[in-house]
Amino acid sequence: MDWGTFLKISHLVGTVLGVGAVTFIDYFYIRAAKDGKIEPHEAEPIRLLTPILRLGLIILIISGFGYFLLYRLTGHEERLLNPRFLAKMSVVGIIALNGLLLELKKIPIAIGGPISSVSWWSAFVLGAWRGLNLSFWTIMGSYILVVLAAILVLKAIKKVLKIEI
Amino acid sequence: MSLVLKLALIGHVLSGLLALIFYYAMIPNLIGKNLQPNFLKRLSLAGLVTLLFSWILAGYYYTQYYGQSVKPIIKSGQLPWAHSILMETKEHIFLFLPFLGLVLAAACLSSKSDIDKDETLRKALAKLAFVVVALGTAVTIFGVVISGAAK
Amino acid sequence: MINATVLSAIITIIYITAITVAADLYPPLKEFLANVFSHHWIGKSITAILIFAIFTGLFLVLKPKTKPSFLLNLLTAVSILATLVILTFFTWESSR
Repeated sequence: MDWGTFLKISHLVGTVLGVGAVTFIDYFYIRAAKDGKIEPHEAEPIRLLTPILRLGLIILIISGFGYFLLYRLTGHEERLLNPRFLAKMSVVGIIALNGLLLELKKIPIAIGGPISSVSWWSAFVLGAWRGLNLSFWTIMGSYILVVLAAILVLKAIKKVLKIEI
Repeated sequence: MSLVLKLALIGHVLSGLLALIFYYAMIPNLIGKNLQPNFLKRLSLAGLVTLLFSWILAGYYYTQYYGQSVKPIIKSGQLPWAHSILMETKEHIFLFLPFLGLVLAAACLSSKSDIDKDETLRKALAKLAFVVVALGTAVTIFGVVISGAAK
Repeated sequence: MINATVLSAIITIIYITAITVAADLYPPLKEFLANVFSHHWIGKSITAILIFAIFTGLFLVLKPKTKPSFLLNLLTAVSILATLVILTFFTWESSR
């Protein structure tokens, strides 16, 4: 197995763990919050999935920098300035910062939750969409719009389902 | 690039990354309700050791290769500011980090420290750990752009 | 021990910032560091370590009684300010 294949597998593992964990955390959160309060047994799946999310992020970051080194050492430095690559790095940075702010309870779940979900799915799409040919600012602008839309959608869901938290 | 230089570059990046992860992990541990002093000690020590590794390996790569082989390419390329601004800033800001790491390690390892009783002290340490992560992240991003400009 | 290391770190960061700016504005200083330590960056690293060690020793003897959290916040502020100084300086120098 060459280094490129090893990095691809590692990167995919990190993405799968992170995207999977965040999606199920969202599902369990909405399900638990429906009756207006989250019981300890309802919080348990969320508590168990959080370390998986963190593990996914660590694997993603380390394997991501593995790619950086691979490009640097094999004469493909121009890929490091590719807008899609830079946007993906920015989004992963936002995932890390958002995670910290959520952990420290500096931002509410109603904001941090959508940022987390949209960011993980955006990182996944940006990684998979090879032919994406947009500027860095267009990609990040679109990402911000999707985050804002997700926050509003969550607010609407809570209103429709009469969720207080 | 020789194998030793490749290993130095790889080691510099990966140990720096690990250091960032350790300091990132310190922050919620310092501010959160469940303080784990032994875990904090290990994180602060691990962060310091990985920072020192990154420093030494960076120094070798920078002094033995970057100046002669990479800098001229960047300066004559499309992004000369990648060296004159980003690399110059990065190589000097990086020097702050081991000393900040030493302070964090001293605070966590000191037996006379009131880290478990003094919340104000823990918050101040968390802010410092955050600065280490922020500066380390900036230095990392600069490194990516500098490498990208080396063609 | 905390106060000693924090105060030394503050002094060291200010030193690093000062020597960085000074060595770029006054080439003989950069050459001096390169001649003595084989490279100016190695010279800055080693002298920074020496300054940190000397001042830590000094403050361990003097035992300053200032509140550690105050000094840590000061160190945080100095680090941020020093970073901005260095970034601004090299941006300005690059545009000259």
